Amino acid sequence: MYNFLKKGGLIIVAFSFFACSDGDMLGFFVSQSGGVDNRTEYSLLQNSETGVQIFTTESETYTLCLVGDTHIGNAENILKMEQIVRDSVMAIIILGDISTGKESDMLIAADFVNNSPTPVVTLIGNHDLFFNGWELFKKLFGSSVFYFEVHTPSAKDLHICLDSGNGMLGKKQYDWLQNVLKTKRGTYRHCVVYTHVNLFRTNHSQLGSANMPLEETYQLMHLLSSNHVNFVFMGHDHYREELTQNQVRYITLDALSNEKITQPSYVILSVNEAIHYQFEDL
Amino acid sequence: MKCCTHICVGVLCCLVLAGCSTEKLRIKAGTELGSSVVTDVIGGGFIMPEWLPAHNVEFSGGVKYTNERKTNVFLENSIRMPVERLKIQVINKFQYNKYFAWTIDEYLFFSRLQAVISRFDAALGLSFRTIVQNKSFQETIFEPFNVQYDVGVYIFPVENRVWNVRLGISNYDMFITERMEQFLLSLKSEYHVSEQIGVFASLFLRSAGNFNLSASYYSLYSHIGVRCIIF
Repeated sequence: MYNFLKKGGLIIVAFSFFACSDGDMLGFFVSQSGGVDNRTEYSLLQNSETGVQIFTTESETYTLCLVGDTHIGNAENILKMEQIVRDSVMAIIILGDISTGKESDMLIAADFVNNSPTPVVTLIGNHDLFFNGWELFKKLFGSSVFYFEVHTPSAKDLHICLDSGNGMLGKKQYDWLQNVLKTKRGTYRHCVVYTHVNLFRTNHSQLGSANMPLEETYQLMHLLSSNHVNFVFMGHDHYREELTQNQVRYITLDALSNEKITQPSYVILSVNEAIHYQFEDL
Repeated sequence: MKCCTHICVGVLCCLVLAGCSTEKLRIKAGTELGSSVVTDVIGGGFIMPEWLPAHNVEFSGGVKYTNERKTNVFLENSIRMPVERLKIQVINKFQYNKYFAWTIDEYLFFSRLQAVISRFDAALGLSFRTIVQNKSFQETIFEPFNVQYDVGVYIFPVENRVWNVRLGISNYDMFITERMEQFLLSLKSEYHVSEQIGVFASLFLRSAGNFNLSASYYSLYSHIGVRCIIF
């Protein structure tokens, strides 16, 4: 019995280490990227210097392309997708895990972001933090906690991008989010939140993919619903899921990478007086 | 929701009364102190009656309230099945957690197999969680088949020691049942003042983002209390 338990435990740990390939072993024990509070502090300072990014459109309807884990190492899928959506979307939003976390792959990802004819907004994911990835991420992509606005002739919408790469928001980021929603939400028509780590564990598509701690999840759910957030888009799990809780829609995207867990896909988000989303297989 | 709380508290009272009638009642009570990323200072208390109606059967329950405006109630039964040197237990638990501050109700069914031998113990089980926000029962979120585990090592063999210390790793304690990757490191100690009374103290370190994420601190809390045999 003892041997069985010992072997079983070792197998579980081994599987979990490699739940996503190219794992960072040291990161299992300690965060190498200074923690989410440090990243939030840096991002808010950076945001105050660069100002809020505003997308403006002459049309009352605009579309965004949302992409789950791209895990760039091989950029084939994202290049293919960009060519498909190029003429029809205002911007591409990558919901974290842009690359495998290795420096060479981060540079390929940055090359795509910088040279894409369609503007690209990037969130940070757990893989982007591997191998002390934050230092390179902030140089290549900048802030990890921010919001941007979309202005149409008659309305403006708020799009909030969160840093959940460590599997938690942390106190500073939560306080910032609370302040943004409490002071600004009322002046916008729609509010959409993007975060890498999915909030709920309703399936086991990836053993060991990890979520946020329960209390932080519940605290965030309450904050989002009490401030009338319309949608939350998430990645990380590589498994499509659509849930509603207290009038907030929680959508988890498939991965765009070629990992054969699910069909690579992306989401086209069409926004006017209502918000519509559609999964498109690549 | 109130109904569920009332049922759980009612069953706990029945456990106490049943224990009184059969002279097999133990009570464990203590305080929780700590801190977390979400709540700067955590303070609260808990009480857990344990009733042993037969040699190999135990019913227990517990209620905890903390300043996080959270109440946890659980009911548990265990059946012991000694196999040679191994002490095996099958434990089934129903837990109801109410997060008043965030209008969240959480229902858990948790079943596990626990084995104890000499200085070691280990448990492996599955839990099923239902999350309901703002009493919106038509939109419940169901999280099935969460793997729960607990592995520990003691300074002394478990049997008949005046004091003992256990170092463990798990993803649950008596009142928290986390997802698979959110583990708790625990250091638990117990000292038997007499046959009737014992004191215990435990320290728990909770982290976030283990396994496939970058791990970081989430919470540190302690339990200090008394365990006594009433009858």
